[in-house]
Amino acid sequence: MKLKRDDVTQLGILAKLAIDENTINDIKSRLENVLELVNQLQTADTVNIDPMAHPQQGFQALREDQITEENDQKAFQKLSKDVQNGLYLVPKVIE
Amino acid sequence: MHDMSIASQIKALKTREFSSAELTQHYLDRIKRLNPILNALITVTEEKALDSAKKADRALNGDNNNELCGIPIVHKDIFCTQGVRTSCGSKMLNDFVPPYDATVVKNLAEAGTIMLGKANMDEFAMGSSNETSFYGSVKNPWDISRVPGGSSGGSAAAVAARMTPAATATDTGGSIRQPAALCGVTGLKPTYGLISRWGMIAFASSLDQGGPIARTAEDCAILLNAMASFDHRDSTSLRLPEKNYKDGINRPISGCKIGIPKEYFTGSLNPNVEATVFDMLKVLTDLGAKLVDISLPNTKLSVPSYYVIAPAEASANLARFDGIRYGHRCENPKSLEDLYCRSRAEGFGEEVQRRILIGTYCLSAGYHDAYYRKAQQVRNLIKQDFTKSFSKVDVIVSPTCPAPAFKFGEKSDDPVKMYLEDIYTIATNLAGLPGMSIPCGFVDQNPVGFQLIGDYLQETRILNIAHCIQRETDWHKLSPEEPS
Repeated sequence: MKLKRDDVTQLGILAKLAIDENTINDIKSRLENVLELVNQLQTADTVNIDPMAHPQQGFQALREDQITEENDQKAFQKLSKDVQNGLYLVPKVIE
Repeated sequence: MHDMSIASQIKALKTREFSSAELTQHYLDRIKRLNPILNALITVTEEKALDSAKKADRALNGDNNNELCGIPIVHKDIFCTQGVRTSCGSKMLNDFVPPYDATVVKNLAEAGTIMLGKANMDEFAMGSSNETSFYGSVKNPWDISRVPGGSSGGSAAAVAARMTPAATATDTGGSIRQPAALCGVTGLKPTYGLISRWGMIAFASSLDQGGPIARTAEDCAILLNAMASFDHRDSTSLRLPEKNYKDGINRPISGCKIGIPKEYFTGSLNPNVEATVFDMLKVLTDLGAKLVDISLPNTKLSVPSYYVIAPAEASANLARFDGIRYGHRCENPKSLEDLYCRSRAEGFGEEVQRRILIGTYCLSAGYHDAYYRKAQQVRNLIKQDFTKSFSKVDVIVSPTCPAPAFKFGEKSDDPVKMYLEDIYTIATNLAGLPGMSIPCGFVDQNPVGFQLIGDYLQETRILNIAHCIQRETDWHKLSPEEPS
């Protein structure tokens, strides 16, 4: 499985990871090795086999739609580097 | 004290042979001496531990019925601990101090255990050698030039070096069993859903499962009693009747049918590891168990299937680390996009970034069916292999790993080589089955692990067989010489 340099750049954009230009070739070759391993899947005969997403296929625990947790906003926002009036601050989005 | 099993320590605490404060101080002293060499713990919670031990002693002097009251424990740094940094082995969470306890931590605290500290681990549990930790590698106590396994390498090394009698751990593709094998201790990965994942930092949600690492199967059963619970906060938590996992642990195993999968005894398996596993099979037959040849034909596809499903789930789970609400944030972001991309690139290590990229690739438009759907279909085939086998046998046994602990750097340059380390453990996670590793001998002075896989919710059965083996063998009693 061969990737192009642009594929790695595009993956970085999709995954929100800044990729250093100088490391692209190295990342590309290691990803290719992993994809070669993963491509062994294509040898499997999976006609009429349902995909298994989860060990508890089809099971989902449900509960009453009631509020059971306290609002811990202050405790959780203490973890952020930048909070004002209960809001998370981010760099300017609209110029 | 540190050479006693938890079962023996419980008796000694009850008869006041020593107090929990004395036991805790003893382990803290060992941690002080050994951790600078082994790097098994990221954080030591000395003050908190001594305070909890005093409370436990007061409870033990009263009418406390909690079996684990006063027993020290180490938590893998993937479990959130209120007021104590939980780094998950990552720079991303270097400053993260959770405002709540994971359910596993809460359950064990309520049972009276004493937290000694937080165990080192591969970053976000992604690794089989502990070399991906932001805090540096853990050293294998049997040979400090070798890896302890991963991702729960700190938990396994701390138990092996007698820095703690027990540790919590997690297993997504072998991360309890493989380090337990490489460090010569006992580790149990329960059935998916038996132990709550709430407060356990997510890697691959359909595969992640917490479990105990200790010295003996009996100790693991005692720990499982406290760790397993239904949790309404985890939608995959199983609601089961209360059970004592120690019940039936002494049951004779005569007539028990043990499956030997032929696919686990080929290819890259080290012949000396194979020989130690065969010695263990002899112990089983001497106890009256019957060996049955079975086939798990899709075994070779378990690693490829896992390396689509786990990175795909990881790429989604780790999207939450955006540099805004918590975790590492880059300096002077030029824009929101720049904040996201640089915070994540700076906060995540190389292996974590690689898995996010693989997961993103496999889930991207045009590749979803070829990779993700195909991997899920293969996952079903793997599960069907086990279902067929468990109609013929009670448990399945195999080596835990193809070879003993390898040297630092030996596989770190080749991710695929590292991934194949988990060839015998991954299928169990894909199917959601319980599995454990117990010590079964040595190859060139390095421990070897023996894996037992049970059918769904058959923890008692594998604990029973492991306990019967440990009554006949001494491998689990051996400890490494103290490194200096």
